[in-house]
Amino acid sequence: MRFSVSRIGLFWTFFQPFFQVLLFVLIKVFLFGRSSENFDFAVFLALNFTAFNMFKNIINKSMGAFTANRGLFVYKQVKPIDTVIARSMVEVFITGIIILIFIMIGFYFQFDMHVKNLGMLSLGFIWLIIFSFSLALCLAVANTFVNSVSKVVGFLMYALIFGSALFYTVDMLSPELQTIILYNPLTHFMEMIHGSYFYTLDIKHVDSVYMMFWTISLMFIGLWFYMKLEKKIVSL
Amino acid sequence: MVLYETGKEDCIIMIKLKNVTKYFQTNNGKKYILKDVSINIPSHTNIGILGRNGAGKSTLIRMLGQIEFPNSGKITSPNTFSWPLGLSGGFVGNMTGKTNVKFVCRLYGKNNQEIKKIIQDIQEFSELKEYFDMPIKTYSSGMKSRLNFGLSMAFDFDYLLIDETLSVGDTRFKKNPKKHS
Repeated sequence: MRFSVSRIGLFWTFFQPFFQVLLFVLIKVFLFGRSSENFDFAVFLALNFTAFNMFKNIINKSMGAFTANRGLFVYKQVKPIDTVIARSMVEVFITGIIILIFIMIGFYFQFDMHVKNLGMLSLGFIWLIIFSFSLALCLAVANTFVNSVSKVVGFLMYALIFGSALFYTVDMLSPELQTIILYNPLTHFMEMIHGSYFYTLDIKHVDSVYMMFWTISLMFIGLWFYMKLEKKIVSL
Repeated sequence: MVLYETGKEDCIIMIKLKNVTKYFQTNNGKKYILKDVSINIPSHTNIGILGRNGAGKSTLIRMLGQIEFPNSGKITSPNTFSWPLGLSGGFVGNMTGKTNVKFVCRLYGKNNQEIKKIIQDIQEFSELKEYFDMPIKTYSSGMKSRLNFGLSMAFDFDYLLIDETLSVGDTRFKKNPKKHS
């Protein structure tokens, strides 16, 4: 339950991404000056951070799902995986509302918001949801049995902000850096999302086989460990 | 743990334990609760299970409620059991008593009309008054157990699994369930 505590929390949930984008745009304008690239940087950031925040929140909220909902496991109908699914769904809905807010802000300030390939963009988001859920399930199970998982994940999230093509495209980097950063599966998702949004960008760096490999193996690992450990999680 | 059986063989079997083993892994090795136990508990009999704290009485109740599982063996029963009514758990702290009741009703597949009726009944039975529309985390333990008990009465379970729930609550409420049942 994310909103039931206070109304100010509700406000911050929806406007935190807005301020985040504003901050990054200001930093960029101060450091590098205006529009050195051929796409709208504010829209670019809004798009990337919406996707990344969804990924981050699905992971973070799901990791605590088992322990936070332990009280509900007294009902035999409630399986631990339900809590991960529920929390992921909540994050997806919140992201939907944030996207709507961004679209309204964009129309009001008359940003250029033509989408190059809406089908590909939607596929990118849906695929990212499935990928995030798979990873979240793995980490939720791991977090219940290994102590410091959430600490490590929190640290890795900071690394991912800089290492996932969030405020740059892969094309802007040097070839050596490109090969390194493309090992990160999240980079492919981000490239796919902003590459299919902007007319001036493309998705030539996106390796869908590599993305599929990560999604399927994480889903498989997560479900397998969950099946093995479900009864232990219930009677924690 | 000591088991006393009354020994009526011809009764309908209510609970059947077959080669049930249950242990907890502790730092000093396995701590056995049940070790290869096979018993049939018939219906319409009173059975006392005695044991000190930590002997596994609550664990047995939780195993009947299917939220704890034996390490080997099987527990079968043709009857329905409620969820184990304990002192803690069963509610979402941030939601109100009413929404928690709604949630459990949906778990047991009630439709909207039934839910409305159940909510009314529970509101009357639990005597929570204005607290019924306040978050569970503001409840005292007595209020929680009253709501929990009222909730379990709303469904047609063959057996209620009660684990120390009735030891809280004031005497006025303790008399109350008998009046209602």
